[in-house]
Amino acid sequence: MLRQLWNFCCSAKATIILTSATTLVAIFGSAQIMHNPQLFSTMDSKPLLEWWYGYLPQANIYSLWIPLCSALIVLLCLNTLCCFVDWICHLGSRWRKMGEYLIHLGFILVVIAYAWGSIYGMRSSNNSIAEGEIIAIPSQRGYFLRLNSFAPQFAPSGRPVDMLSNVTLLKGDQELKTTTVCFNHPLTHGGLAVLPGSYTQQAVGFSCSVNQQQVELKQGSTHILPSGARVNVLEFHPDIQYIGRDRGKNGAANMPLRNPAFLLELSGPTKERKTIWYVVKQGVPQQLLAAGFTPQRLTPLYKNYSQLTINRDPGAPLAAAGGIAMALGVLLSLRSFYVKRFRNSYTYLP
Amino acid sequence: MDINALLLHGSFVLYGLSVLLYVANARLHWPRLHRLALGTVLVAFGCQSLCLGLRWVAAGYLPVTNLFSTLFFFSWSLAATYVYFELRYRLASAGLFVMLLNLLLLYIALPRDSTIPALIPMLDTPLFTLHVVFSFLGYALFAMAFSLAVLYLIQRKTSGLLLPSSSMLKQLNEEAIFLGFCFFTLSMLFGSYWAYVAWGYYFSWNIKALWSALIWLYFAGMCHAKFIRRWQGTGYAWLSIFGFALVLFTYLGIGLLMSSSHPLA
Repeated sequence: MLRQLWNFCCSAKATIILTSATTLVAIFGSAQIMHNPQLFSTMDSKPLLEWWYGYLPQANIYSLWIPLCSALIVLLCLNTLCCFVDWICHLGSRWRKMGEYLIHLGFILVVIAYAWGSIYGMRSSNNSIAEGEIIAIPSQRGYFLRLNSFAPQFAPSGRPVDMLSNVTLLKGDQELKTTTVCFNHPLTHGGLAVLPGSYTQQAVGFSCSVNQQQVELKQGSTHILPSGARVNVLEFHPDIQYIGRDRGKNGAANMPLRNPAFLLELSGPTKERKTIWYVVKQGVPQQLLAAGFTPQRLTPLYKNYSQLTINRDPGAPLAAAGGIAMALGVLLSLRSFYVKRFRNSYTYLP
Repeated sequence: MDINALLLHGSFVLYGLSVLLYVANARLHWPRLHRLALGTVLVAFGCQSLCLGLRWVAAGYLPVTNLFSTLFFFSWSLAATYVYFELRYRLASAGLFVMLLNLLLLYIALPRDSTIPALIPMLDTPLFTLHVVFSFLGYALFAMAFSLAVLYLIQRKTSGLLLPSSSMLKQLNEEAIFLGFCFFTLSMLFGSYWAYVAWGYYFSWNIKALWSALIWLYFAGMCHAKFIRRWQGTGYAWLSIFGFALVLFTYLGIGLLMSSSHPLA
């Protein structure tokens, strides 16, 4: 009885049943993807299990293809594993089939790796970071990413074509790896991958002429006026209506320049200090004008932010091992196929 | 007319001529006609290869980044596959079917814009070239298996004297499926690795990737089906025909009818 069950588990018939069933379920699933693009287009944004949890409230009977397809793939993986174990048990007489069974092993490893990554992985996109800034890597306690330099590349039409971000991966204070990431050249470390996504610009202040001197008004800048008074820029906000809400994901800014405002500190020759709001559209406040602060010809100053994608897939190294096993398996299968063909060479001549 | 256009149209005309010669051979059973048809195919394939080589040199990368160039490359892969099978096994009239398919691919490609677009950085990697080359070689072998399967069914129905024996066709069909599966596996591996370095994950749930995985599973099942008695012969031929329908839908159906982040191949 057990022997029969084992034989069925190892059989090509079971493989055909499972591959056929998986194919049919996947065809049905692809139809669902086509008909519900707003729902399924987000599937790549998160690991499969996390996406599925988020999706569950909207799930209906037509979405059952995902767990069904996953279950069939798991069964197919078990069937492949049984075949592989059976082959190992008869290695002495079946070693010539090594190529085919390496493909089996590769498939098993890739399925396990994908399941592992789907359960314990992390995907995070649009992590905005400016030059010199450090951000914490999401869901990776103690790991940080520093952007050393950033250079977006543009086509002659002005369209961005690549984003060169020189980044350093840090574990606490320790530098683990420094590399320039651009398309097809991610920073990888273990199962972690840092990739270029896009870039954004954020207004950080204004360049202007004050008393016929070109100055940059931005957070931290200080300007001494002819009267001896000093103006310190304490804060800059691209839109005063959104103070406190202009810091986006991971400390990055992404606020359009609508109603810009400065929080300035005016310190007079007598060391008295006043904080004054200067809302650009409303003009310079009287107190600043009286102190001789007359900014003219204001031009916005922008800072580039690299928007990076940070993914962690703990199964990626195992998937790579599976891929190598499969590639080797294919090469060995081709070799053994042609060796057999050359031994029993035949041609058909009409 | 520049040299590329001359070679392209020349190969189209020569493939057309080879089809006529194969038809004539099917009616007249004249061995010289078969040799002439094969010679014409070889010259056409040479022209097409030269055209592909010149376009590759001019572009600095394998030009397979728009529908014209993928159709052209699919046609070249199919011709290469046919030349391999013909020189190795002398398929005779079996070539008619494959050459008709090849002619159809070139016919669809010719009116399209053949300008080589500038390569975007995302595609500027050898992984892209390897992924596409193995993918189209796999597709071409599945197309070859389809042709052999149709011939097998014709042979079983009519016992056509000019066709290879049904056992030969069955064996060649299995060979085409096996080789196609091997190449398609390599294509999937290079594609997955490329996806990982480009997007940070090696399997995407876009419609094209899902159908590619589905094709791989289907042909993996077929590689097992040849060991099962009831699926050998006619059953295997029908599986090959259905498999090629899946391939065509994945290549053309999804690329032309649906939006996908993976529209070219």
